[in-house]
Amino acid sequence: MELVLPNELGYELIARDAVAAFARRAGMPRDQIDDVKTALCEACINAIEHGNSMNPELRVQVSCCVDDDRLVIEVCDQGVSPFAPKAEPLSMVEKVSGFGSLRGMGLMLISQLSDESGFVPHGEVGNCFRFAFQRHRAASLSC
Amino acid sequence: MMLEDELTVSTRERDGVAIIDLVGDVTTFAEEKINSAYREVTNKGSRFVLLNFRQNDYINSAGIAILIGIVTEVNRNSQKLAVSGLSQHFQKIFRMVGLAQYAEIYQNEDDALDGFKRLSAA
Amino acid sequence: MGKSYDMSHEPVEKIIELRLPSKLGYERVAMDTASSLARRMGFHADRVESLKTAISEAVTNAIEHGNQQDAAMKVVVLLTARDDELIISVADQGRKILNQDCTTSSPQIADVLDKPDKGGWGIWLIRELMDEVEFTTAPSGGNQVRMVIHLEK
Repeated sequence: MELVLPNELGYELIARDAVAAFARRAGMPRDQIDDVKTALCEACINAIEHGNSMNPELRVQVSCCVDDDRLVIEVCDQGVSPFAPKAEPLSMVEKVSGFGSLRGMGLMLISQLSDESGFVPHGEVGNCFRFAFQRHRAASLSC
Repeated sequence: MMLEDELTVSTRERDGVAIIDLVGDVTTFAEEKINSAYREVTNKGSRFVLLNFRQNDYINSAGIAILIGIVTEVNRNSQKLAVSGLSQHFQKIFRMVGLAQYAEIYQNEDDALDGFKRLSAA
Repeated sequence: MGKSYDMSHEPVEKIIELRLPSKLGYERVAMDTASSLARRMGFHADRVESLKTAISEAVTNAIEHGNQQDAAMKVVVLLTARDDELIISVADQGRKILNQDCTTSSPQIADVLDKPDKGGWGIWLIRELMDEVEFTTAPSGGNQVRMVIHLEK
């Protein structure tokens, strides 16, 4: 399934409820759905605030695909400046000590909640962030 | 992807009333489960049948069609049917569709059993 | 969701687009998305329930009839949030075109009881529950239903 959202903070909550319904439909366990929801909100907020720089004219696209092995989610923005993550993310100790921005927290959280995550090449303008969750139950392919 | 396990149907008896518990979604996937539970209590000779809904935040028109099928059978077999445990929204839908003319709607199981008691005393 | 104010006098509207596979069960995604939006817009709980039932019927029709349950075909749901209303449009890819007579029927339970097919309540329910309902042809050539629910403050 695909979901296209206005680039406005708050709409990540609608995306969260849509994706949670999709994951329930796929038969994922509740605790894993909670991880999916948190990761999705963080990815959408990044797209809205950073990728799309809060520009209300732009959109955020969320795609979900589930197969036997995993649930894969992509969150794409239309930002003109590519996202350039620091080579070495700051550690929690450095952040708490006030070095750098607290903002990179979202990506760190996603990487801990999901089984894999990262930016992927994307044919169009903008950043595309993909994260995936391993599944424990069999299912047939559906997107 | 098991869509069918969205509903759990079970049967039990209380005060001479056959209770069919419906926990979950009542959609097209519910047909076999509901019909076989109804056949089971009917084969046991139950005169009073209660459809007791729980956690049913999704009943759709396909589910309503299944329940109308039960009403047809209940009339044919001269049984009495009641429903309980529906949310306010689905009580409204049942009234709109006209199901309330064929099955008394009660707030909960205890109220329904009291209703059946008054009916059998009359 | 913070309200944004537009200096022009155009109504402020925000659009969410959802594309679902034509497989029964996915109407739940549309129901949960629409109810999440409607709650945040300030609709009362009973109106949100009505909306969920209406959208489930519209999406189920699109999956079962319009797209004949071909999972590769998409159902497109557009949710347009305005200050005073929510507009929901559901479009399929039109493998089967809806008979216009079906869009205005009002089934009666007494007539239905003895018929083998006890269905046919979906579109009638949509009409009963929504403030405005219109059946049209989608730009893609499929069936489209446009439903409006007014926000009473």
